[in-house]
Amino acid sequence: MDYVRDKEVIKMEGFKVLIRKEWCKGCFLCLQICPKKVFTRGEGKVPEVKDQDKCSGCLLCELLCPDLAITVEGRCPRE
Amino acid sequence: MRTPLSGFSDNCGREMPERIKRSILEPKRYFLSGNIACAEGALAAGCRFYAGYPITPSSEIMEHMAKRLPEVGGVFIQMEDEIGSISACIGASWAGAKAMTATSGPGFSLMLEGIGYALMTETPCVIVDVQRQGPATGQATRPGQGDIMQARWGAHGDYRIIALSPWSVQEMYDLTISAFNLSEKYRVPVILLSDEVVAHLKESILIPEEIKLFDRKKDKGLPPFGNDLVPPMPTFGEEANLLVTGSTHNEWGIRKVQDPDVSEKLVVRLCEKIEKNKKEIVRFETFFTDDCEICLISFGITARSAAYAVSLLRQEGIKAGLFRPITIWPFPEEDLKEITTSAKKILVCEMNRGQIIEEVKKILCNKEVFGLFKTRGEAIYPWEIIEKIK
Amino acid sequence: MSRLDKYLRTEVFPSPFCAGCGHGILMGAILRAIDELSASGRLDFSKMVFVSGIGCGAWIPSPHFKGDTLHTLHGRPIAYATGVKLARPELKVVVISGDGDLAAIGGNHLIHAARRNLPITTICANNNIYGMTGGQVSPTSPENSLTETTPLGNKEKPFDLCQLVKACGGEYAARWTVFHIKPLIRSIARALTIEGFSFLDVVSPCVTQFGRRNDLPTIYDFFLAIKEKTLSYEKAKGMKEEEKRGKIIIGEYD
Repeated sequence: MDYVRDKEVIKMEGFKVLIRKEWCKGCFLCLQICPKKVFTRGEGKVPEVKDQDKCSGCLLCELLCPDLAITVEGRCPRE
Repeated sequence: MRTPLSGFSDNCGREMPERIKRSILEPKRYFLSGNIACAEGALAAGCRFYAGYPITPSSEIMEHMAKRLPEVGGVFIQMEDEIGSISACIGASWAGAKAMTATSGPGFSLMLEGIGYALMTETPCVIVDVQRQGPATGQATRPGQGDIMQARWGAHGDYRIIALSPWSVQEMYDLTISAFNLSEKYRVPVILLSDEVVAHLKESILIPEEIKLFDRKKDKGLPPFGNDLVPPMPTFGEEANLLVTGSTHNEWGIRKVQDPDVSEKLVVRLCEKIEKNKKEIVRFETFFTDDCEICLISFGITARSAAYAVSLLRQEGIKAGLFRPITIWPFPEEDLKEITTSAKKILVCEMNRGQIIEEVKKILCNKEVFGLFKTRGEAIYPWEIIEKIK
Repeated sequence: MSRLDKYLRTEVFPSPFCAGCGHGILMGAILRAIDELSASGRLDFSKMVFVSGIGCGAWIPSPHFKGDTLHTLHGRPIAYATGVKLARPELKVVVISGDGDLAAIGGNHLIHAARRNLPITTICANNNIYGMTGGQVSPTSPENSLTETTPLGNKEKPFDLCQLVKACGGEYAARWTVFHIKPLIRSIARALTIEGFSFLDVVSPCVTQFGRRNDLPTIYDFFLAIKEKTLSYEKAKGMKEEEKRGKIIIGEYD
């Protein structure tokens, strides 16, 4: 995923979405708010990461996770 | 009234061994009221935080603290109510300050939840209750001794507490210092159960050259709520990662509200730290009790009348004596039993409808115990006691 | 390993909050604001004291924060914080508690701390209900909302706590919802650097007690509903009382 800022193409690094399953209580907010649909409901009671590559690193899931269970690793090099 | 202050055998020598400090006031004789002596005693004991709310007849303590605390580098605040006052004191205590508040009847009722919190979190602080005649607003400017059982049982749940009862201006000073020492030593709120007469009485008092002070143990790294009967108490801002909670907690302060073992261990320890140290804590005074046939039991200003009555009765050849508990709680049970062996009759004098008498009846169940109670909002006079005995 | 682990007692997690409770989001926001300030050397976590009362909101710092926490009586955290701050002015004192705790039983301490402009930060985890005790109406429950003690709908008008704090003389007051996460973090960071009474009213969804009685069964439903109901403080300024009714006014109050 790349994006353009100030006419400059910025290469996004590969983001890695990590879910700490033992902390997650399965409210599925991440699944519903993720603009890129990275998460899936999965088999168990907690969400799973389906499409890692789609992640644009907006951090919405990490910031809004009520269980502090999500960490997004990797950052845009300019930020 | 002249009080026979001399000729007493007492066990007041039991003081904490720790720190010796010079008095703040120049050591000499002063002519002070009980409330002012109490405030000065607090300052001498190292009190550097006072939060209070105006209430008759205790307000002079607050007024004096407002003036004096800034002079010694302390902090004074008049809070929005008594609940806020006790709360601020507990907060200040955890921040490392020796803290005190003073109040009277209605305010004391409001503080009880906070006192329960201080008991549960083992927070040293001193609460002065200048008793007035209740219930409710009652007689705001008149003395009473009706808060005895409230001091013991007022907060919900079960616990043990320390309450002291001064009978003179000198003791308002001395016992305030003792209250701080006991509070720091056992990590427990200590109540000074004064009354309107002692608080407003003006007498000559002697500020001693030096006083003994006790400061809380602070060892970091040890559990602040367990293992030892009285655990060490670190303060905020010292990287001790303190978890202080009024909920049932383990030795590190972590809430364990569903664990029966944790609850039992905690409550038992809270009680045992007072019970097992009772001999160290308990203080009393006796007057002509060696051969007494009738023993008076009284405390606070009432004991002054009782002492005078005893001296008059002795002149008439009646073998009367006086037992005066200085620590109302814990009550000097064993000592009372021992001291009253020769007595056939026991007369309990108090400014309520009978509170300490219940405690006495429980201890001296084989003796004839009767009471002289007064709730007129005035002290019990010596002749009333003499009349009752005759 | 999360970025916030250094501030947390990880051993007490998962948190005791219900699935979808907004308080966890607020917990994260507070720590992120602290992290931001610590990174630039404007705050020292070890010199902070977190004081809380009783209720779900009060559990945000205690026992989760790996720092000094004082979990006090119902309604009294501000009074305890007053004692801590006055005795040790060099400590940064933060009160975190719920709406019932701070605005109902503790309302007196709130207005007086604001009047004194006491230099502490107070964060109200406002879920519009008494969650822990089973869902009773609170002083911030919206009009007509259904609770266990207003089975026919709440007939009372809720408090605007920010307006209250400002009227009493508080230095800083702002309201956000937990979903306005970026401005919320900025605002908390701002409040923590203010030398005066700073207050944050943070609207946080309670799925279990409020949501299930008011047709908001999941946190996402709250997310959608709150999106509809929020109104910026600037925009609300020129509006009539009637138009503002039932809205959540967000922003920094002046």
